[in-house]
Amino acid sequence: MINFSTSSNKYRLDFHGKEILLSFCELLGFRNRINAIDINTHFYGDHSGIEILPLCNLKEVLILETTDVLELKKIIDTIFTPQESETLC
Amino acid sequence: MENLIRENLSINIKVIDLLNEQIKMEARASSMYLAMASWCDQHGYDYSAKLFYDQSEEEREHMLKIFKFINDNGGIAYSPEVPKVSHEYESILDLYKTALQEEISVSESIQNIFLTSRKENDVASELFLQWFINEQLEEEQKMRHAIKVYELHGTDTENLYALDKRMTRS
Repeated sequence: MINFSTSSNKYRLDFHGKEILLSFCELLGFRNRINAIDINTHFYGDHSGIEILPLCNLKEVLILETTDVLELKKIIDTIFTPQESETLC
Repeated sequence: MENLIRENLSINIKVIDLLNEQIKMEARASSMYLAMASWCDQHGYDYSAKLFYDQSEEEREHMLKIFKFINDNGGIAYSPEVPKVSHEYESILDLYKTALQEEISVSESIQNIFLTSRKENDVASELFLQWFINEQLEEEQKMRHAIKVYELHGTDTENLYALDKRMTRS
C-alpha cells in the first residue's frame, strides 16, 4: 500500500510491515524499477525467483519474491493510472 | 493520489515511458551513424563521412532534447545503454538504404508517441513532438535523395566517388 503523508510531504510505502518514505522522484524511480522486472525472465532466469531492489539512492533495499513483484506492479499501475474523467488539459 | 501525481508531472506518465524508449532509439541511431561515418572514411567517401558525422551529432542532440523535456516536466529521463551496431556494409548504396530504414523506424516511433499523447490528452507533449515530426521528414528525404542518386548513376567506381561530392547536408 502507498499513501501520501502531508506531514513529511512524502509517499509512504507500507509493504508487508516494511515502511519506506519516498519523494515523488523516488516514487517514479521505484515505478521504473518495478516495471523493468520482466516476469518471464523472473520465472525462467537464473536467479531463483528473488528480486533485489535498491531504493532511495541506495538508502533502502527491498527483497521481493514473485508474489511481491506482482502485487507491487499492480499497486504502481493503479497509482499512475488516471481516472476516466481526469485529463492533462 | 491521482491529483498529487498530476501536481508533480506536467506530462503523461505513459508518454514519459515512450519518450524514454525514444531516447534509447536516438542513442542507437547516433551510434549507428558514427559507425557509418567510419565506414565511409575507410572507403574514401569523404563527403558521406562528413554527412554521417553530422548526422550522428544531430541524433544525439535529439536525444538530449527529449532527455531535458522529460526532466523539465517532472519525470525522470534515463541515460540509455547503447547496443552494438554494425560496421559492415556491402556498398555505399547498402549503407544509405540501412540509414533510410533507421530513419523510417524513428519516424514511426515518434508518430506513435504523438498519437499516444493525443489519446492521453497530453497537449504539451503533442506540441513538443511536432518539431520532431517535421525533422524526421527532412531526415528521410535526405537518405532517400542519396539512394536515388546512387541508384540512377552509381554503376562504376569512378562515378561512385564523383557522386559522393553531392552528398552534402542540405
